[in-house]
Amino acid sequence: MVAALRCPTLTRALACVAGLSLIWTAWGAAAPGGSEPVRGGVIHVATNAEPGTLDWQSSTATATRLVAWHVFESLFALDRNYEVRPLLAQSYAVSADGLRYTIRLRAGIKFHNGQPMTADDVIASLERWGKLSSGGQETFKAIKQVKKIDDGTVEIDLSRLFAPLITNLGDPKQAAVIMPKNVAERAGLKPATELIGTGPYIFKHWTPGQEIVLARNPAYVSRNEDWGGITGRKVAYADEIDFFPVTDPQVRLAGVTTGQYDLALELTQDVYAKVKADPHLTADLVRVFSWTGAVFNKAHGVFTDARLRQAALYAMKPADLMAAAIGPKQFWQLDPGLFFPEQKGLYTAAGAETYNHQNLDKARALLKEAGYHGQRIAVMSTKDYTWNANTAQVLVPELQAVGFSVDSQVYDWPTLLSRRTKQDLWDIFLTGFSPSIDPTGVIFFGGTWPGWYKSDALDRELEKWGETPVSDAAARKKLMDQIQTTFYQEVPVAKIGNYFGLEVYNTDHLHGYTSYFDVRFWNVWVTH
Amino acid sequence: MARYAAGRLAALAPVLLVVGVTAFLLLHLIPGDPASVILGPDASAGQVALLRHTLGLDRPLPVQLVLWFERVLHGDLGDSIFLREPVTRAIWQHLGPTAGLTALAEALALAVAIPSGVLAAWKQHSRFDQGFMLLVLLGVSIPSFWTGLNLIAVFAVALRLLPVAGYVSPSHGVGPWAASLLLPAIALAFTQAGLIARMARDSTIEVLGEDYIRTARGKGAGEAAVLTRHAFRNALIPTVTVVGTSLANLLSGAVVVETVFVLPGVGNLVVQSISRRDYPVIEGVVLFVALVYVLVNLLVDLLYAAIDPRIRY
Repeated sequence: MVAALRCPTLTRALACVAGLSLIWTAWGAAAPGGSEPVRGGVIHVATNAEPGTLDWQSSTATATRLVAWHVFESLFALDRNYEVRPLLAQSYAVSADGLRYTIRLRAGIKFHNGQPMTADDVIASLERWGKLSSGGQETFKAIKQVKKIDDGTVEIDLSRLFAPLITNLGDPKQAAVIMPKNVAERAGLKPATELIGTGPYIFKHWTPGQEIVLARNPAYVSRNEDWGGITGRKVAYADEIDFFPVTDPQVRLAGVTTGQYDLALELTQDVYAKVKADPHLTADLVRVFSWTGAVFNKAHGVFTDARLRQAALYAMKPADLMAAAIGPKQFWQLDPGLFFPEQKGLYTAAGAETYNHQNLDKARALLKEAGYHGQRIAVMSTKDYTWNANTAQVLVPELQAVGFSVDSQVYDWPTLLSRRTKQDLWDIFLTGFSPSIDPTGVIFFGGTWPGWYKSDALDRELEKWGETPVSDAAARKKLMDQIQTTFYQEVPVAKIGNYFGLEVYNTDHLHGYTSYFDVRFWNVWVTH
Repeated sequence: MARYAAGRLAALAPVLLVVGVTAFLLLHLIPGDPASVILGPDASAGQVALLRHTLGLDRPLPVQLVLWFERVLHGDLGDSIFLREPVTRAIWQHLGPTAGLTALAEALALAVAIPSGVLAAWKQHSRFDQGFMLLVLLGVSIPSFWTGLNLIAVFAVALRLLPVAGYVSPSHGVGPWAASLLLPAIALAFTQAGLIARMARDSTIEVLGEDYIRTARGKGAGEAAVLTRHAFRNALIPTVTVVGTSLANLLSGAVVVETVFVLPGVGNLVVQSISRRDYPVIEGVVLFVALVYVLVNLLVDLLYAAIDPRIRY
């Protein structure tokens, strides 16, 4: 039995090794310049996680977004400077009282099933978004009705002034993407399984654990503006984009080195030097990526007292926390902003006099003033993200140094996600915040998000923000300063620092690629 | 023998019942739920509660258990929350890569382990035996992911002979399929070969000390005949036990190796499902693994009788 098994298997395996080595050598040899865009080919992307769903209205997850935005489009979307521009909308007009928005849709847009996009599809999609996404729920509180004027025009009537309307319609977090009316209705509140959008790529198939395949949309009608980001001119050069979930970062790097993958996402910082030394690879530091913070439980326990939250902030030394969490300095930045410096319209340095000013005496004094008498505080972190547990290892002794009695609890991510929804189980948890595009979209400003932040001052400021027209840059700047000042006075979350993502792509194969907060493969071509 | 086999199969029912209920309860006792994983980290409590309700996860645990059990009795393991397909189909689809990997790894392991184990026993205390023991020790001690990463570094990155990771289904050609499985199979075979070879060597040494071997040698049988005809067959029984365990082990999913090499096998399915709290899939896989173990053990017991005519059931 043994002999019978051995011979044919080995012979076959050896033959295939020989055959394959020829193919791989041939593949490695072919790599023409690539300065002129070339149509065709397949882009192979190694991702770090598999999405739970590809319905972008349903999920806030990055893994969902970076696949879904090739398939789906929204009325408005971000440009390369993180400002909102039209995408499926042609233009929009606001009535003099600021309560009526008339949005003209672009003509000639077709869904991937061939159906033309009309106002009915837009209304059904927006209404579903209004129920599913937190940004949508917030937006719809100000919306009286969304109605059809004609097939190519939609009107949104507001019940009160709400200037972030257009911004929220272009928020990439749980995007207000447009899908056919019947698809939106069939999906209801469940994540949609029919993935039909208007984007430059069509969803082809998804083999869980193996690959997600998108194919070029031959009927795609592109805008012509050079806006970058998620809008403007989009050309689908490659025939296909294949996303492979590859859990191990070493394997992702190995794959992009050999050319099996054209781009690998979220590599660990320790490989940076190796990648820089390889002429075939380009390291892309994603600067608008995430910032880390300690979220306080403001509904239960000692941190209901703002003074203790301030004390925790003064106990922290962000540079040490970031060094432990992320490592080399080129991968992080100490910055007080709720928004990233690249987000020019929103960024402010207000609060810089509080952030990154460790002051142990002040922290101890605040503890005393608040009458803290050694109640144990539970700090939750997760080992599923290395930076997260590493941050806790420095944060815990820093808190202890000023007198907090700390119980450090390390969980797997799903457990942390579940525990943080229960008010009596925790006091602090660590998490990362991906970029927001409007203060009304800052997740922890919402009263229902874990942490349960309620603030009259902030509510007033956000209300004012809602009433300030987008065109009034000076007033918005002033309000943004106030909002961020409140953030540092009330400390719903103690900001630690910004950290950068690391993507690596194969320069021999992938061309035209530009850095953005998540990967995009339109206007990009491959030569294999 | 048929009656024995039938009896063993009938005993499957209580085993699966206990395994199923225990798995269900344990899973639901650990915190975490699929809704918050699907919705992503920025979802609000209200959104999570809404999806939990839509998925039926807010019902009392006993009700969920009864509903699940009722379906299982009808042969329906339910639908995966994430994959949106029946659990039985998901397991069946993930079984392909696992079965291929198991077959290749076990074949490689046996091809190396049996002859070298028998030879080492025959040449006990020789240089070959010492070198063999060292390799075996390395095989069982080195974690397979480490072997895997080094195989990738050498054969995929430095020599560019094989793909780094990923699975090619046999429908795309046997060559690419085998190429996608070769490195993970070697990584697994290294450990399995260590276990099997050790057992083959030890049991052969024991058999070689028996009286009937001395008799065979005494009547002038050649060493080759003594080894293959008299010693090998009798030394097989303990070896078959180890091979059976390793087979069941591999078939229930080589979790680490499948993850490193991105093979969409049963091991990968279960790891992914645990981190997503995809309850129906985890429960289905646990039942499946229990089934595999019971069946493989039965097969091993029946093989004993085939190898050694003295064993009768």
